Parts: sequence; C-alpha cells; structure tokens
Amino acid sequence: MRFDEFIVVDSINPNLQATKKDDAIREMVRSLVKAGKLSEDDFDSVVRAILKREELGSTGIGRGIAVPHTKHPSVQGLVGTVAVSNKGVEFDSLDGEPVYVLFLLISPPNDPQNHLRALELIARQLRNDTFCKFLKQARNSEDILQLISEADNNQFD
Amino acid sequence: MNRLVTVANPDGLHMRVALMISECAKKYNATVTITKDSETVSARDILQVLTLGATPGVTLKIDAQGEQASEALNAICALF
Repeated sequence: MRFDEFIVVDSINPNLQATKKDDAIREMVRSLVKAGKLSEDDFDSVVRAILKREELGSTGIGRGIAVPHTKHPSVQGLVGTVAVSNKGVEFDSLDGEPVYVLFLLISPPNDPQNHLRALELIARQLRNDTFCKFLKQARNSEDILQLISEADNNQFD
Repeated sequence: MNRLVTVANPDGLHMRVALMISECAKKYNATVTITKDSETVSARDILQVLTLGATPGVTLKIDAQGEQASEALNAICALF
C-alpha cells in the first residue's frame, strides 16, 4: 500500500493546535470534514468511535508517534490524514512522552485488510529515523506531502 | 527454541494485538523474534511487529532465546 491511496491531501495539518488527545483527534477529524471526505453529520460519531478505541489502550506507540483509528460505516474506503504538532500532544503514550506525528485512520467496518496494510506502511516508514525526523520537522503541508511521496517512491529505504 | 503460530484474529495482527505482544515480550529475560516469510522482527518493538502486516491465517515463527525463553514463548504464543 502507498500513502497516496488513503491520505487525504487537503486534510494534511502541519501545525496541529491541540495539545490534548481529545482535542487533537477532533482537530484531525475536522480536517477530513473540511476536505469533504466526511460529512458534518458524521463528525461527532467518528470522534466518539476513535476516542472509544483509545479507551482500550492508547495508540500513542512511542517515539513521538500516534495512530488513532477506528472502523466506521461513514466511509466507503480507507481514509487517512496526517498531522504534525510543534508543541507536542499529551496522548497517554506507551513511553509517557508527548506525540509530534499523528496518522489518523478511518476504515469501513468490512475492510480489516486495508487497515492492516496501512498500519504496516506507517510502521515501516516510521521505523526509518530519517523519515520520522523530517516529518517531525515539517512546517508546511508541502513538506509533509513531499515526504510521504518520497516514502511512496521508496526513497527512504 | 521456536514455535509456529497461526494468526487467528479476524482483524489480523492489528495494533492492540501487536501492543500485547510487545508488552508481553518485555516482561521476560529473553530475546524474542517473530518471522513472517523472510522478515524477522523483534517482538518487543510494536512498530516492528506492525510491519509484519500479518493477516488472518498467516503462519508466523516465534523464536525465543535466553534465560526465560520457554516462559516467553508460551506467553507470546498464547496471544495468538
């Protein structure tokens, strides 16, 4: 799988304002609504579903990374967005550290395979220190888009 | 020592399972690796476990070495 198969370009947020988990998730889901990938009517329901998943265990998996996600019937295919925080977000991460890079995923309920493939891609790329460092340093959408495009073209291998 | 396991979870080796595996592996004085096809990763690192992208029905090889290898192997295989 490639980032350009599910990351909604118009929703990329290089300067997340929220510093708390709930607010960060709302801000990211809001960006998907603004980009036209989710309807306003589904906003609350999607946010609730993601927060409910977080109650089972934080998706802040260390190294300053979080991958909040949910299954939700409002999407027909896998939808994702990425945000970078300059301030850091308190995310109850495994290592107790703030989060600076967030990938948010929404999958249709009947498509666990693509969700798994997206997690695989995100994990594989974020294991690369250069990709991870550059992403944290990105300060505009173009930088982020360029980085994920380079990752799609195997330039961090 | 090693053992083969099959991913039974209908959602595959998703994040919560990967987290349980990595947290479990950290509890033991053992080096535990998971192999899928030609890729071998550390069981302690959730990012590495996620890169396996293991779908339901996939067979994985769990390998444990060290003082608590047997205990670690039993505990991790029980998560599948």
